[in-house]
Amino acid sequence: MNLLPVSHLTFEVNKEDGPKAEALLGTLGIQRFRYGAGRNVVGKEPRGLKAMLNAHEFDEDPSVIYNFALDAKQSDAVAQYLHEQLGLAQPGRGTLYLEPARLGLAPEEGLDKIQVNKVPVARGEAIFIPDLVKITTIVQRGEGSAIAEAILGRGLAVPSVTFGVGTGLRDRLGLIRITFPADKDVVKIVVSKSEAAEVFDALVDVGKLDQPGKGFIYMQPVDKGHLNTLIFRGRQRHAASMEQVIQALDTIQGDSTWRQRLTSSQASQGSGRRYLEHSVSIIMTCMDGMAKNLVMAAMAAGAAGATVGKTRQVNSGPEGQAIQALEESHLIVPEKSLETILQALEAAGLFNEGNHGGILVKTVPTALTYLGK
Amino acid sequence: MAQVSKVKLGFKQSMHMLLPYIKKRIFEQVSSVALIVVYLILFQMLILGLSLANAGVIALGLGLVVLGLAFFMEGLLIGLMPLGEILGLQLPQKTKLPFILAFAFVLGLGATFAEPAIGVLKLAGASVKAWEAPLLYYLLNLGSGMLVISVGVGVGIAVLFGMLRFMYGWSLKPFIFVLIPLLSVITILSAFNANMLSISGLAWDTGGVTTGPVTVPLVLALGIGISRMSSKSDGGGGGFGVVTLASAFPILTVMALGFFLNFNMPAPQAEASFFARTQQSSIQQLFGDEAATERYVLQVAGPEGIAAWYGKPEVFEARIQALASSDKDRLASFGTESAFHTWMATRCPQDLLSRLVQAGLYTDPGSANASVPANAPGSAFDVLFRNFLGALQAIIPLSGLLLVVLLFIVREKLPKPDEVNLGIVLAVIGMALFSIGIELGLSNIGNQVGGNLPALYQPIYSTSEKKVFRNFDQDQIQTSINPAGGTESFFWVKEGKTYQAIPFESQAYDQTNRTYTWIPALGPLYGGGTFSPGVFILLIFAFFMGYAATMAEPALNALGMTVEDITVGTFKKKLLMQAVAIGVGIGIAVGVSKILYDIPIIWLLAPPYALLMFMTAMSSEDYVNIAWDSAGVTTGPVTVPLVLAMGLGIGTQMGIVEGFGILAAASVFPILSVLTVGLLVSFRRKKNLAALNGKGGAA
Repeated sequence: MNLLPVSHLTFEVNKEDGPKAEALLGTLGIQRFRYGAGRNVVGKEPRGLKAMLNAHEFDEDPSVIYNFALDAKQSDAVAQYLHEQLGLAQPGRGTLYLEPARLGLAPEEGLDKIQVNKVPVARGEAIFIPDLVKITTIVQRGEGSAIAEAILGRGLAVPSVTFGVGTGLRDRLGLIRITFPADKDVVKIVVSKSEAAEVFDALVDVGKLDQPGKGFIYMQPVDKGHLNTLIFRGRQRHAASMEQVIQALDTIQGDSTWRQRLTSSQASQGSGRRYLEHSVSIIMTCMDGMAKNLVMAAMAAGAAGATVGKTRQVNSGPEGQAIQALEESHLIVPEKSLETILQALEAAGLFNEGNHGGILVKTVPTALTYLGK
Repeated sequence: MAQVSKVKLGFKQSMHMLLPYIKKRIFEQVSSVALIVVYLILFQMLILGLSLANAGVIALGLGLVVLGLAFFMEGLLIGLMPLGEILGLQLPQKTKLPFILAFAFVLGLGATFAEPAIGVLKLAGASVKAWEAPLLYYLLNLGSGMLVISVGVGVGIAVLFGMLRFMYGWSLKPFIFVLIPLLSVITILSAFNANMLSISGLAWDTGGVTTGPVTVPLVLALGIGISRMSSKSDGGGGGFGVVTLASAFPILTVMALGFFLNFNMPAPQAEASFFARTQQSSIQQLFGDEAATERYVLQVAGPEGIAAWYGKPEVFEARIQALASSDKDRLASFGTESAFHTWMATRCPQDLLSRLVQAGLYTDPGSANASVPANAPGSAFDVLFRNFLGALQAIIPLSGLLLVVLLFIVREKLPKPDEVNLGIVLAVIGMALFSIGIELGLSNIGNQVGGNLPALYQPIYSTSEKKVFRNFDQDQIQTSINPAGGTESFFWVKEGKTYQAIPFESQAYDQTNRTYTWIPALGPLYGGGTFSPGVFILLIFAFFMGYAATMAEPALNALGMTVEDITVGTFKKKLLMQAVAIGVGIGIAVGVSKILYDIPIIWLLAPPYALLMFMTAMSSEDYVNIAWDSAGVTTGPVTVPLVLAMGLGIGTQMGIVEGFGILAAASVFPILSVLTVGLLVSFRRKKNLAALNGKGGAA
C-alpha cells in the first residue's frame, strides 16, 4: 500500500463554538474533515461543603473535535488561520495541534482532497509550541475522569475525553465476552516533549496501566500545537491568571521546555517497566458497522486489538456535500508487522466502494500495557 | 480472510468472569429498587402503624423484580438496542424513503399492540359507570379494541414523523409548538361536550403509558442509527424526540376516535333516564346485546336503574324468579352459576330474596357467601404462564420485525448474532420475572399502603386487619352509656395480655355460624379534613413514592445511559434520573391533589404546559429533545401500578369515579424539571465562555 506523508491537523473547541468552526472549515475549502463529540475536564473552585472538605471539583464541558489530513506545505498557514479565527490565543478557547502522519485512501476518496483550495493569509503570526508529544490513555469506561483529573492536578493542560469500544481478546472469546466490559474512555493530552516521559509514567501509576485488564497508554510525536491551558476556573487573584502567564512565557520562550519539572525525585517508579517500542498507530476509518470485520482481519494478521470510536465525515466534492457516519479504529501494532496488517485490511475490503476506507499511520515511540508475566 | 483463533476458557475461568459480572448487575438493580421498597415498608409500618401482610410473597416478588430488571437491562444493552441501532444505520443506505416511513409506521403500531397499556387504563377507569360517562365506558370496555388501534395509529404516525425528523434534521420545537397548543384547544373544546370531556383524561394518559420499556429503547436506538446517517450535520436531536411524539399523537387520535363515536353515543345522564326502556336501543351498543345490558343493569346499576330498565317492579320480580328457576336463562344472563348466586346474596333486594326463599323458588347453595375477591391471584402456574406470555408478546414480535427487515430487506448480517440472540432471550426472561415480581411484590405493597393512605386524614376500615371471633355468644355483649345519654353495645376481647373493648354491631354478627367479624377503623391519624396535616403528609408521601419509583424505571435507565453516551458523559445519567424523578414526584403529588380536591384536569395541566412552551423556546435543541422524551418514559411498569394503587385507594375512599390525570401530571412535571436543569447547565456554560471574551480574548 502506498502511503502519502501528510500533516494531520486536530483541533478541539467548546460545543458552542462548533458551528463557527464548521463554517471556518467551509471558508477554507477543506474538502474532507471528520468530527466527533468529546468532553473537556476543567477544575473549578469548590463551593459549600466541598470547599470545607477541601475537595476538588470539576466541570465537564461538551466539546467538538475536528480533524483532517492536509498537505504538510499548507498546514502552517491553515493552523495559523484557525488559531486566529477561533481566538485560541485566549486560554480556554481550545486546543490545536499538527501531527506527522502517512495517509492511505480508497481510490474513489481522492487523495487530492488533502489540498486546501483557498490557502489563507493570517493577519498576525500565532506562535505554536514545537516538539510536543500526545499521550493517549485508554481505560475502562468511567475511569477516564481519574486520569483527566490527574492531568489537571499536574497543571498540564485541559485533557480531552472521548468514548470508544475495545475489541481484542474480548472478541476471541465465546459468549462469555459479554462479561468483559468493552466500553472505554480515551483520554488525550498534549505535553511538551521534555516532560512527556515523566507524565507518561505518572499516568501509568494513576491508571495502574501495568496491571492486567486496566488499559493501554501510548505516545505520539506532535510537530507543533497550541494547548488549552485554562485548567482551572475560579476567582482571579492577580492581574493575569496563571494560565495567561504560562501562555505568555511559552510564547516568549518559543517552546515549553522551560516548564520541565525540577523535582525528579517524585518522578517515575517507572524503572523496570517494559515499554513497547518501535510501534506505529493505525487510524482506520470505515463505514459505520464495518469496523468489526476489518479489525478481526487485522488481528488475524498480527494486531492485538483496537479501540473503535464513532465519527462523522464531511466530504465535499463537485456534487455537493455528503456526510458519512464512520467508525474510527485505533490500532497499535509493531512497526515490522505494519505492512502485513495493511495488506490484510485491504484484502478484507477496507477500500471497497462505499466503505469510505482510510488509513493514517503515525509513529508510536513508546507504549505500555500489561504484557503478562 | 484469515480467521482469528478463538480462545477457549475453562469452566473455572468462565465462572471467574461470570460471577463478578452477575453480582455487579444484580447489585445495580438492588440499589435502584431498594429505595422504593424500603420507603413503602417504612411508611406502612412507621407512619401508618400497620404490619405488612403477605411479607413472604412480597419478598419473593421483590427478589424477582431485582433479578428481572438485571436480566432485562442486560438484554436491552446487548440485544435489542444494538439491533435497533444497526437497522437504523442500514435503513437509510439500503432502502428508499417510502419503505422507511412504512416501516416506522408499522413499528409504532406494532409496539402498541405488543405492549398494550390498555389494562392499566382499564384499571384506572374500573369504577366508571356507563350512565355517568357512556363514551368513556365504551372505550374502556367493548370499544377497547378500537382504542388500542387508535393509539397504535397515533404511535405509528409519531414514529414516522420521528424518522423523518432524523433524516432531514428537523427540530423538535415546531412539533411541540404546533401539537401542544392544538391538543390544548381540543381539550378545552371538549369541555363543552360531557362525553368528550370524560375521555380527555383518558386521552392524555394514553400518551404516557403507551411508550413502554421495550418500545422506548428500541425506538431510541433506531433513531440514533438513522440520525447518524442523516444528511444534516446537526439538529434532529441525535436520536431523541420520538418518545415525545409518541406521547402526543395518540392523544390526538384518541380524541378523534371519541369525536366520531360520540355521534351515536347517548349523553351522560341520570341513571333512571339512562336505563329507560325508550333508550334501550341506543344504550345497547355500549354493552353488546340485550343480555349483556341486562347483566350490567343487574350487577352495576342501583335500584333506580333497575326500576327504569324493567319498568315495573313486578316485571323485575318475575324476571328474577325466571332466572332463579331456569338454568338456561341464568347462564345466558350471568355466565356462571356462582355469579348469579353471588348476585342473589349481595345485590338482590332483601325482601325479594326472602320472598323467593320462602316460596321455595330459590335456595342459597351456601358457597355464594364465600365471595371471591375480584382480582384474586391465580395459581403459581397461571401467574408464570401469563407473564411469560406477556413478555414474549412484548418483545418477540417487535425484535422479530426488526430482524426480518434487517436480514431480508436490508440484507445485512448482524455483526454479533450470538450477542443479539442472547440479549433477546435475556430480555424476555427478564421482563417475565420482572412482571411476576411486580404482581407479587410491588403491587402488593402498593395496594396495602395505597388502601390505607386515606387513614392519614379520615377514618377508614382496614380490611387487612380484619379479625373473626368464633363461638361468639350474644351473652358476652355489654352495654355502656354514651355522652348523649343513649346506650351502646360492646364486648370484651383479650388481646395478648390486655383486654380491649370492641363496639358490637349487629350486622357484623353471623348468627348461623356464631362468628363475629370485626374490621378495625383506622385514622384519622394526623387530623381530619381536606386541609389537615394528614393531607399534607399524604402529598409528601405521593412525592417520595413518585421519586423513588421513577429511580427504578427501566426505560428511564435506558434513556439515561443513551443520553450519557451521546453527550460523552457531559450529561450524566444520574443527573437526568434525579431531575426526572423529582419531576415525577411533584407531578404525582399534584395529581393526588386533583383527586382530593376534585380539581378539573385542565387547571393542573394548562399552567405547566404554558410554562413549558416558554422554556422550550428558550432551550437548546438537545435539552428540548431529552426533556420531552423523559416525559414519555416516566410512566412505566414500576410507577404505574403504584400510582394506580394509590389513586384507587384514595379515590375509593373518597367516592371519586376515576383516577385519570395523575399519570398525565406525572408526565408534564419531569419535562419542566429536566428543562430547568438544562437551562441552568447551559446558562453556566455560556457564562464560562462569556467570561473568556470578557477577559479580552481575540474572538
